[in-house]
Amino acid sequence: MNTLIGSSGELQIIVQVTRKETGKVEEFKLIGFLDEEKLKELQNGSNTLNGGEECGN
Amino acid sequence: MAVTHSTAARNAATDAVTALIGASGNLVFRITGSTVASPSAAAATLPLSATAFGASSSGTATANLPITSDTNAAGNASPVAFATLQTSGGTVVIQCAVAASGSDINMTGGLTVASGDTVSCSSLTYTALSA
Repeated sequence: MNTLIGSSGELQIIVQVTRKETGKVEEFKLIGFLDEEKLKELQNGSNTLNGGEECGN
Repeated sequence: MAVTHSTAARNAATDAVTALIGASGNLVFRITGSTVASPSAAAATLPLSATAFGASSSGTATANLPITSDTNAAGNASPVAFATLQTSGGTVVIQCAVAASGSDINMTGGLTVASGDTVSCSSLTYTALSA
């Protein structure tokens, strides 16, 4: 039986966390690939999108 | 062989999923062990706008702002491991893993939310099917 694999999508979130104790703001860009191959690219650094990076504060 | 979808098909798929969130859903960051059927403990809960997402364009839906901050997060000693988009009644519609490896989201250094922290979201997009 042939198997067709559809391209799957992604979820992108930019989240800021303000620490109660220090008031410091940390920002994270989250990129969730639901495609296994794209996920591997993201994890080994070959993807130009840098998912999960702490963006700054 | 990958399947390629038309833009109309991608918009339809994305809109169909975001519609399931319904009115006044939530973005929830959760610790490890979460499943769609049995979500794990919430570290932070952010109410989405009454209409969570706008109509999909080019296959991508953007969340309507503002997404209300959680100004007194429950927090957890365990790092955030999942993000879920769910209905106001708590039914999970979309779940993404968040961890350093082997997860849907790769987040360097991890994210731990402490009790009382404020967690905000300035941007949220969802694409059901890539081009």
